[in-house]
Amino acid sequence: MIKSSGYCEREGYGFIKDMIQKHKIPDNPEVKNFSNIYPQVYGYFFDIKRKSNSKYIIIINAENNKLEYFKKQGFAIIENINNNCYLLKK
Amino acid sequence: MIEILYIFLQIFFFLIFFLFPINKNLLEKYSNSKNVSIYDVYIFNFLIYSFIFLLISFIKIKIDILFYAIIIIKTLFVIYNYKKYLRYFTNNNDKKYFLFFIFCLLAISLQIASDPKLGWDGIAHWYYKASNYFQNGTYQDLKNLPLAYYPHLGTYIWNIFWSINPTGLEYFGRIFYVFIYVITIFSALEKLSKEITFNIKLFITFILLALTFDRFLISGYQEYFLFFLFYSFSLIFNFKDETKSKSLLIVFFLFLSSYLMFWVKQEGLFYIFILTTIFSLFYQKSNILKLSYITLMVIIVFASIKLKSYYHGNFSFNEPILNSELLKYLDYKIFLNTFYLISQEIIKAIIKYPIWIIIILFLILKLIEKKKFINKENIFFIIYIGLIYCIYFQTTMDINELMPLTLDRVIFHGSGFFLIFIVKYLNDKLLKK
Repeated sequence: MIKSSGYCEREGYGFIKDMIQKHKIPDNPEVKNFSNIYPQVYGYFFDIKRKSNSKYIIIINAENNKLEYFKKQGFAIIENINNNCYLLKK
Repeated sequence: MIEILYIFLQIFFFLIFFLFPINKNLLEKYSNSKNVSIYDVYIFNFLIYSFIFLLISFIKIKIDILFYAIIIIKTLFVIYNYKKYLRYFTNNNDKKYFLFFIFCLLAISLQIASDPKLGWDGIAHWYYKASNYFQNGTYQDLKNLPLAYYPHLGTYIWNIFWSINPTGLEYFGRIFYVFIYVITIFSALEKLSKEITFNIKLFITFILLALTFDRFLISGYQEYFLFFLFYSFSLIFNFKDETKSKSLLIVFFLFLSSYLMFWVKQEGLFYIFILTTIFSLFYQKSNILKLSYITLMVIIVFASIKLKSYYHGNFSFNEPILNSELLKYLDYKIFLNTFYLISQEIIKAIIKYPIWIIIILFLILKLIEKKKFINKENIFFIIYIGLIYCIYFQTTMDINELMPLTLDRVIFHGSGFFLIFIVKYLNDKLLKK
């Protein structure tokens, strides 16, 4: 899957998977892919028993202005790969 | 390696599971036809099971264990009655053709396994529904997911065959789309005259597979399901045309193949309208039967809309059907420009799915030869293409963005209706020589 959907590029499948496992995110995190070329692959990790949680946001193909927006909303950067993939936490 | 073995197992499940409850004898009896193939049996059984799956999709029930029990019982039954099942193949060529059928199932399934990535709509829309059921969610839970109002039948079946596979890998569920696609093609080509040699039949199979197969459509899309249902309708209609069967069972299956569309994709509601129109115009039976069919269809579709509204709060499409934007077409320049854009995109879609080039060519040739315009293929073609124009005239979205993403798939659905027509036309032409 990482081969076809990318780690920190394209859909960012690998990064999302790693972040959920590494940080043991308890609920369904919000995932935003700012590229219009690729679909949102968040569905792969959706667990119907978990609540949707806006404490964590995973960003793929980040755009600076949108990242700034989240920072202003009180989110801090927990992980950053190549200034393209971010894990943010409130 | 283990995945390959499980693919074999999954295909074995399909081949055994959909061999019942309708069998060749029963189908021959009710259709009055002697031209019933094993692929037709699979099609009728798949329709029955789709309806059963639809009913149980509203109940919280896991059928994995029941499924295994059914598979074991059915396997034992086939072994015990193997001579009866050998009767499905009247000669060696039939057996070779069936082996080729299994080869095609395997080849396409392995293609999914080699790249199980879901397509855009597959992951963004449909996977959520399959995953919901896989995680023991209910129909009611779908309302918390994106695009809850999208129909769920395809994803429910996807979940069933995902759940029953011991690997737990998602793509095993999607192999059912391969199964219905391949049985559609082989069922149609089994209608080729027996006088056509095996090698020519094999050649035509390759061509038809090449013209209709799209790797993209098995990445979580529902298009092959609609393609299958359109084909099923025309297959059953063909049984009736050829044998003048008066069986109500045949009418029931016609009804089923149309009605199930409602639960596969949103377009299904409009396709029901088209197929019901074809039924009412060309089914040469009593008017009372036609009226009952139409009335029942209206009642059941209306009840289904109510059911959806009950569970999800409302019944909606991507956008309202009537909107004030439609008034812009009073300006004939806008109308003509939109008409031109849609026509251009339809031509692109026809080139993308070249089965349509064959369909249009054969329709024109038949029209020239027979000089008879009113038949079910021509009327279907006109209503279907008309519907596509209506869809894209109606939308408030930017059609320049929307059409390249969707129109080709809408065009593709309807090609299933013409497979029997193509085969019958080939029979006429090849046997004349």
